Amino acid sequence: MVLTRKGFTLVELLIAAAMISVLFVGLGAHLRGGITLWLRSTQTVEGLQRQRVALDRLERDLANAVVYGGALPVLESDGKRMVWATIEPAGREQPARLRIVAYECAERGGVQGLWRGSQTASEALAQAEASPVLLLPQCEALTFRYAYQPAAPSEPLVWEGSWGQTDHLPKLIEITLMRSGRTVSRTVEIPSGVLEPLEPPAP
Amino acid sequence: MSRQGSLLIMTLWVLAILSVFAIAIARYLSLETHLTRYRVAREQAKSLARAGVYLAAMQLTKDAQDPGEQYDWVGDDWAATPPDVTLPEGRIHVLSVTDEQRRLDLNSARSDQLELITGSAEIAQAVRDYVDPEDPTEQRQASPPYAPKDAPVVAMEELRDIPVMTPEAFAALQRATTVGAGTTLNINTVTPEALAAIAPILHDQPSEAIIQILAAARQDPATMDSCIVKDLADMADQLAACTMQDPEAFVELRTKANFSVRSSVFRIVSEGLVDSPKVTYRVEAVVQRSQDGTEPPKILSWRES
Repeated sequence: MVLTRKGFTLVELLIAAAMISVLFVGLGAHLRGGITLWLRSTQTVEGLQRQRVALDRLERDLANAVVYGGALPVLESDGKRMVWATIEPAGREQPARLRIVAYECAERGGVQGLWRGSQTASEALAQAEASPVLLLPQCEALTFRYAYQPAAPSEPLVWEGSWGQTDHLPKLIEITLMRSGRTVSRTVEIPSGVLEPLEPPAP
Repeated sequence: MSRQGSLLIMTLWVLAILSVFAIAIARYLSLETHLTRYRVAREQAKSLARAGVYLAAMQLTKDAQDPGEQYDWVGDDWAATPPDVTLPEGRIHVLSVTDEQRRLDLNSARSDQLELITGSAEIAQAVRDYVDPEDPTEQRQASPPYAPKDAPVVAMEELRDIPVMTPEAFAALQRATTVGAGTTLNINTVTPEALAAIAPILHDQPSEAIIQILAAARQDPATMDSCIVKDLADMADQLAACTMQDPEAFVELRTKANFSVRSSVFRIVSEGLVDSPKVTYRVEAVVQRSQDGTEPPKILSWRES
């Protein structure tokens, strides 16, 4: 039988294995960085998406806000919490309703975040617990600024930290959220916020 | 020979693994692009719907500026919804413009009128209790908590919180009554439901037949014009001629409510439509225009969905 060199020797195999493992370790180090980056970016995008959905909800509640009057506030905020009356549009199963909504940055059940409570006017007046829903995790502070038009229409809008009017809404509301040390803000237009008081024009 | 074969298999393996990666990334990215595209379309639809309200409000102001026409009726210029506006992004579609003076003011409606509208004395009383100042006979409830507001209603949706309210009664109230538009009724636009509630009996006769004849005459293009009251002083004679009824009935009708021939508060329903991806956004607004159209309209209420 003639010996032909068709197979590998043990040394050749070992050298090949060593070379391949060095190659894989090098590749792995690079890939790990890439995978971490990918995971982090996915998480950030999802976080932003959630934040956008929460702010959209807030914006819709503000756009449909009504001046309820009586014992309930028009717009009440104390730096951490904001309460107002709004019309919740009709959903698939329930018709449009007037709700008193409260947004607040608080810790409930061990979760620090932005919570939204919604209840009927009667429940709010009876000071019943609203059983809030978590909209967004991580929220340290929630602040608002309100814009109104001064008497002369030519003057620019004036921004204030509180809203004392009880008969109408501001024109714009700026919402600022403090999340993990970073601020996020959005300015919402209130279409039914009037520039002048709601009185019929003089004949 | 065999070594070259193993190389081919290895290459195929690597190719397969890489393709799986590529497909996964492509799917993820296409989902993100879809979401973003939907979001952009939604914002566009919202802006288009809002623009529709402003468009209709502008038409209302223009109508008020016409000095030759000091009355409002169902076939008025403002009632013809503006034609759709097509933009590269989508379409503005104004669904309807109606005046609010066609309905009774809910806050000042009497309980007998509310009973005629809802068909239930209990609901009528509950609505009155809700609006009227506190009194000891009012219905209160501990669970779920309910206490009447004892103040004027600011949004019709509030009435849904009254425990005895039914969807049918609420729909009937929405057809015949409204809030925030004042207590005058425009005789040219008033709905048959509102008329039936304020005047169930006219001139010792049930008014139902007269109201039906009036409603039919207003629908018919041939008689429509003769039924428009241009001056309140001619109301009785004109409506009598239009319906061929005894003028006395309309003289009596005039005493039943605070009538007018003009409207100042209007409800505008507008939609913004974007075709791809398909998104519809709806805005319903109530606006008040100044009588001579010199001031810009004021938005009294706004609903977005």
